[in-house]
Amino acid sequence: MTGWRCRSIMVLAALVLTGPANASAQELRGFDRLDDRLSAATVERLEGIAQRAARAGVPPELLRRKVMEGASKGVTGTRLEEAIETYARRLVTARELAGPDAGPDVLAAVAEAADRGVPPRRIRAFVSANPNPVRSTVGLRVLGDLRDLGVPDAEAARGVNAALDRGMRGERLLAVSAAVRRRITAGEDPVAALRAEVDVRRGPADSRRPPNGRRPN
Amino acid sequence: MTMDPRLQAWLDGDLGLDDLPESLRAEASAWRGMLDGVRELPAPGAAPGATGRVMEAIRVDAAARPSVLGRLAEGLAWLARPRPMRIPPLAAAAALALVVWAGMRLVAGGPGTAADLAADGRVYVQFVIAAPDAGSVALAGDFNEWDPSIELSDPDMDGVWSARVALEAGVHEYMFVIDGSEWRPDPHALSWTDDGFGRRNSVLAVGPVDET
Repeated sequence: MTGWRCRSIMVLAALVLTGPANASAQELRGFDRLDDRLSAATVERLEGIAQRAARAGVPPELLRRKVMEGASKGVTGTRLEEAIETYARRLVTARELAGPDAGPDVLAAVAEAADRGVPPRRIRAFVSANPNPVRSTVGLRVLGDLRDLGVPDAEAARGVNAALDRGMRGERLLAVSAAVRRRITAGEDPVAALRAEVDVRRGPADSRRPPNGRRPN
Repeated sequence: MTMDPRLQAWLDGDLGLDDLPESLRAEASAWRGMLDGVRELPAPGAAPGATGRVMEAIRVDAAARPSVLGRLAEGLAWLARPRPMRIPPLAAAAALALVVWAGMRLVAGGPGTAADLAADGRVYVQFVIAAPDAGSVALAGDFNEWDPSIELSDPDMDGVWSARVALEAGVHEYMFVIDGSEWRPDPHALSWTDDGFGRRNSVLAVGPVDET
């Protein structure tokens, strides 16, 4: 066996043996870009929060992403630690709701929906009925939006499921809550607004409204 | 040959037959006979029975012509019949590429959306914000670890800044950064969410090929 082959096999073996064990620790690092904003003590405390959450099944990447977001926005020190601690708690609760198989994006969406007041049983039912992660994350966002708009939970769940049944996906599904918001602003009852919007948007004749703020190519 | 003006006047009714000299009366009588013959010709129009024959021919023709469905069936049968075709390989490859491209555009969001499919399966999204007073505008989101490094451009200096970014499928949160310090949500986003730091992130959904 040649030398380079021997070295390659040794490197591969080392990666296989040490990779999984070190994965979470590596996910917690990578704050290099923010070294000048976060003190070593803050980073250490943030890593402690992430490790505790990781033991409860929370992917460290979610917390790392939130740390990057806060620090990029100029939030540092105790305020950042408190925000991350709160977010970690929400994610732990989300893990309990979503089950062990839910990926990071679904977990984040579940945490947000729960934080906005969508009842846990609705969240469980929705995630269980929509195993596709993209469908699930968009649907949960819309459920949260509709709750904020005053649509009763049962009606919101019915509306989102009906929209999914009618083939609404991605931005088209997200546009439902935006359209309901416009109808409510114009004086419509929230339930009537949702029903009208889901009904209006069904079928192939529906032309997708270009997402506001982003031009068609 | 010219006509005697007095005969012309008689034909026009300006002179009576008695007003003509004897030498012209025979010629006038000949003209009268000829005109009477013309008057007695049958009136112009269809020959007797012609209308009925024409209508019968139309009915026969309509009965013989295939219906719309019949013509459609004929057309489909023509399409289904195998026949040799000679297509240059280059033209066939170009047609195939066009079909694939059109299909990919369709599943990536269709016309009228801001999305377009990148070669690696990600979806291009065009971000636009109006910021007339800005000296620079950047984009940050969960897709780039909130690093405001994606610069928007305003080439025509109209205050509308834009950038085209390839994103993975899923739900994304983002904000614009004006002049390097002011974090501003997209006022035209379809949804927003509390960022946990006292601000609101804009939300967009990017559908994968099998989700849009």
